[in-house]
Formats: sequence, C-alpha cells, structure tokens
Amino acid sequence: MAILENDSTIVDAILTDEGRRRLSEGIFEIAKFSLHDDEIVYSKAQQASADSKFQTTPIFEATTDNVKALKYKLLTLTPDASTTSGEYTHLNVTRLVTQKGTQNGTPQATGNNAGYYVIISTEATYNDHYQGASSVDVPSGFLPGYSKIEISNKEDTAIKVDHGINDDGADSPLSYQDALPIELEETQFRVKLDHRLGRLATPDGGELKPIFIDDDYIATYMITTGMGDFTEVISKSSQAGSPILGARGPRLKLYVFAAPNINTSSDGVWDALGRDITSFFTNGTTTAKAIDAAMIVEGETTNVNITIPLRFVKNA
Amino acid sequence: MATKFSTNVKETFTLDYVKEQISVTGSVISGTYPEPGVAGSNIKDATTGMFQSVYDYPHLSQSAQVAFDITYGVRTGGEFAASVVSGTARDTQAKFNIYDQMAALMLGYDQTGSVRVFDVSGNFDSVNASSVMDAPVFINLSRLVTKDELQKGTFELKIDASAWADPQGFSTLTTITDSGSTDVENGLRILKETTSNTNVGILDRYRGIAAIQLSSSVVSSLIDDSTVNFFVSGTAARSWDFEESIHSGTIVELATALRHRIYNLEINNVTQLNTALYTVTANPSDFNYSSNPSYVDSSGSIRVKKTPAGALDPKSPAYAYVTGIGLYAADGELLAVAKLSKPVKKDASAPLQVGVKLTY
Repeated sequence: MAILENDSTIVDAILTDEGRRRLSEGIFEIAKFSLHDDEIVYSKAQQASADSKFQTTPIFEATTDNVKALKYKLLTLTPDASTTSGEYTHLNVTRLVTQKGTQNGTPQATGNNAGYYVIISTEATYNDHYQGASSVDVPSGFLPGYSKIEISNKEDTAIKVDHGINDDGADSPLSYQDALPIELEETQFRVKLDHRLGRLATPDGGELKPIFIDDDYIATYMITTGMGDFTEVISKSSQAGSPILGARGPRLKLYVFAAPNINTSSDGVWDALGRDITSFFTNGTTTAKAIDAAMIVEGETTNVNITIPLRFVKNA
Repeated sequence: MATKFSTNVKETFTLDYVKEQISVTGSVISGTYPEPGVAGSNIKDATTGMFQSVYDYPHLSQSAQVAFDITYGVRTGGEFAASVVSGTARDTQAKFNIYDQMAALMLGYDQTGSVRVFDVSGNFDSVNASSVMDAPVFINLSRLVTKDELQKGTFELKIDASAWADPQGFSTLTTITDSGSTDVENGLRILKETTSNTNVGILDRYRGIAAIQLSSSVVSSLIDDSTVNFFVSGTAARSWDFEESIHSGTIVELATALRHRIYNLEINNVTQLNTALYTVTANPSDFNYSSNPSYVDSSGSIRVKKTPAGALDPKSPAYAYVTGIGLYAADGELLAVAKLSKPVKKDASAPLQVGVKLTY
C-alpha cells in the first residue's frame, strides 16, 4: 500500500469489492456518506505543534475490501445541553465484561488462549473433555458453542460488552449513578462475524438472522435494545457492577455458536482455514483443530467499538 | 441524535474520454524477433491458417498481448477471383470466405441479401471497376489496442511499396492514413495514400479494422500488380508479384509479405469513462467528534480537549481530522472509498465539502 502524495488536493475514489458486486447486479446506489480518520492517532493532540503534526500524517491509498477499507467514523453529536458550551468532554469507552461476581461477566480464556473466547465447536469435543468419568472442569473462557440451545440465555455463556464514561475522577461529568446522555447511549449494535465459522444465537435458543452477508462471508447482525435479552440495563446501585466506572449504557450480550460448516466431523473447513494445536486439551484427545476469528462490535450511532478475539476449536 | 452518517450527498454523472497513442514499430512487426514457427517469435500463424497474429512480445510469454492480426480477402467475381488456387492448407476458398465475413461485419448486406462490397470511394452498394477493392488486406487491431474506438484521423500506416527484400530497405515509404479524410457511415472512414492523395481503403474506427487495397490496378501508387515481387520465399522458391501472390499464396504468406513492408503503425485509441461525482457536504456542526479509539483516553476524556499539561478544557471546541470518505448503500454496506491526499481538520468553524469522483 503506497503513500499518497500530499502536495496536491486529490481524491482517490474506488469501488469496494461489494460495490463492484452490486454494480454488476444493477443495485448500486449511494444513499449516505461517512467521514473517517483511520490514519490519525490522537494521542499527539497534546504535543507541541499538534495541528502541524496531524496535517503531515501520511495517508494510505484506498483499499477495496468493504470490511477493512475504513474503520473509524467521525461522529455528529447534538450539543450537550448540560453545558454552556454544548461541548462534550467525554465519549464512550467500550469494555468486555470479564469478571464474574458483581460484574456478572464471562471471563476470557487464560494461558495459551489468553484474550480469546474459545468456542467448542462440536459436541463430540465437548463430551470428550467435559463429560463422563475422566472429565475436567470447563476452563474459563471456554464456551459450549456446539449448540445454540446450550449457549443461549445463560449468563455464563454470553459474551458481554459494556460502554459508557469510564471516569470517576474530578473531570468526570457523570457518575455511575447517573444516566448516560442519550447522545452517548448506544441502542443499536452492529456485529460482524465470519458466517463460515460462527453464528449468533437468540436468547431463546434460536438463530439470529444477519441483515446481510458480504462477498467475504462476513455476516452483519443488527442488535437493538428493543430485542429482549440481547441487552440489559446495568444497575446504578454499585460502581463495581461494570468495568465502566462512570455512567453506563445498556450491556450487550452475545451468544456465539459454531456454524454448521465447522460443527461437523469433517475437517475440510478446519484444514482450509485453521491449524492444529498440540497439547491444547489436558485430557482426552489433546490436539485441537483451531480457527481464530474476530467478532467486531460497532455502535451504530456512537463511538462504541470493540474487536473480540474468538477461537473455534474441536478435537483433531 | 448522534449519527455517523449524513445523507447530504449530491450525485452528478459525466462522460470523460481518455485518448492514448499507440505506436507499433516495424522492427517489432518484423526483424526484432524470429519469424513464425521459431522459438521466441512474436508472430503466430493461426492453426486454421486464416490469419497471422502480431504480438508485442514472443507469443509464448505469459505477458504477451496481441497487437493486431493480418488476413486477406478476395471478392467473388473480382479481378483476381478466377485464378485463386490457394487460401489455407485445407481451404482454397478461405480468402473468399474472409472477404464475405469482413464485408458482412463492416458493411452489412444490401437489399438483395448480398454482402456489400469494399470500395475505396465509400460507395459499397455497387461494383465500380476503378474503385472496388478486390483483394484487400485486413489489419484487425486487438481490443487492447483499439479500446473503445480509434480517434478520428489518427490511423497511420507506413509501408514500403518497393520490391520484396529481406530485410526490407524501406527506401520508398508510403503513408496510409485517415487524417484529413471523411466519414462514410457508422464509423467508417476513407483511408488515403498521402503521396498522391488517393483513396486506398476503409477504416472501421469502432471495430479497429483497416481494409486496404494494395493492388496497383486500383491504387496506382501502391504495390505494382505484376512487375514487382510482392512475396519471395527462400524455402519454397516462391517469387511472386502481387497478383501471383493473391492467386497462389496462402493467407499467412500474404500476411508475411505485408508484415515485412510495415515501417510503422500508429493510432490513437479512445476509452470512454463514466464518472459519477458525489458532492458530500458536512455542515459545521457535523462530524466534529470521532469514534477512533485513540480519540479518547482510557477514562473516555476527549484527547483533543486536553492541554499539553494534560488538563481537560471543557470549553475547548471539539475537532477531528478527515482522511477518508465512505460512500454507503442505504443498508449500510460500504460501496466506495475515497481518500484525501492530506488530513483535513473538521470543526464547528466551517462546513466541509468534498467532491468524490468515481470512475468506472
């Protein structure tokens, strides 16, 4: 990816792969736009001559992948009525809820799987290690993703995401007991997940239908606060109830299960997309087939944004 | 209501034309690379024997592209028709069939259902002995060379009209062009020989085909029909004038004869570009915050509102820098991407208007 010349005002516009596909099908229609700042790292805002440093930031050529081409959107916020300037001092911080107990979170895996939620993708794998006489306890962060019934509507199998103002210091405009301003409260979550690997279950054990699946098999789901147990209001009674220290928005709960493509004894997709990891399990068949993926959660109207690492596994 | 999108997009469509000059020198057409059938040749005889192709590199190279094809046609009932004994190795009628095929394609059929005839005057509906093209050579430019069409007045072919030599001396160059010529019909133009300003053929600009009558019976300033060797083959001891070549030579032999005489071939091609211009406007109050994770610190404080000492200034106006623009479908799928050449500051002091040009 070359760096664009910046001594002239040019706009490099290209179709994404999805744009080309829609053009070929005669359904290409631009309805809206967004502005992005992917190359900008705002930590230099406090450095001397920050404006000059921002303006000399090298910018990369456009790429055609509709998922990766642009990442971070600029936001339009209506003025904050609680301040005379109308300016916001804080925006959301997005955090995984990983502590059990008061946070009622779902821990991520540890050790060699640290940072991942491990989705056990076949029932045979689950039974081999966690059922029967020689079974062991299911490790933290390992989720029974072989069944949407098993994964759904259970507090300890949901991947939970909180957002809000993570500040309880002197600058904090709102404490955990306050409501998050409506401009910052996210009520529509866009979730992206590789449709060949994972699906989202509904809290009642069904399968959530994606709003579309793009040419790279990335399925996009839209979850709103009106969709029952996908979200919940976080209690204002205790600061410890969330990793967010200040005012919080609704908690998002995601139930991920293995797609039929990989919830099978066949190794085809596993060998094509993944790898074998030896000594993965401590009992039964110790070598696992694993495919790593990233589930992206974006707020539709706010700066909620988090990438959640997933590791789909089954016995080799 | 907070949002990441704006529908303030205006769309206009325009057509642009890009012109590109293509020049194929004679050394590529004959001389630089071996003749057909020899390793490393950039000339390929069609297995059917119906035409010969000129590539830009040895044709077995993966990156080689066809520049043009050469073939010949003979008009049934024309000056040369009665004595034609050769076409391809398998088909003595090949030249007649090529003529009919090319005439049908470039000129169409008359009201009787017969193919119209090639004529250097541009009158294709009747046979005029002084201008009919009885044995035209066809130079079929590839789509890569022609693109959407040939620009008017830019076809120029320089050939040596003197006797066969190997290598050709290029001592008596003749230029054939449509420069200064006239349109006939449906993108056809008259080709002229510049020395005597006489008509020598027909150019189909849209299809990239030149039909040229090399015979002196119609165009006296070109290759003499019966006194000058047009083609000589050392391997088969063939030494033919133009008339004998048309009678007895195969299509690929005739193509080789012309190819050796080409000094240069130049055209300008034209590519039509469809351009959609999307003018996007961000109002002063729009897009002054960012969802970029670095926009806030771990507490959620907006970094651009902090002083160098780290104190948060609540009255400091928010701003963000724009480096890219996404154009979306109504369902939120990203369809096109534009990148600015340098970051542009967006704050509440002014609107930002950018024209995003999408060409396809």
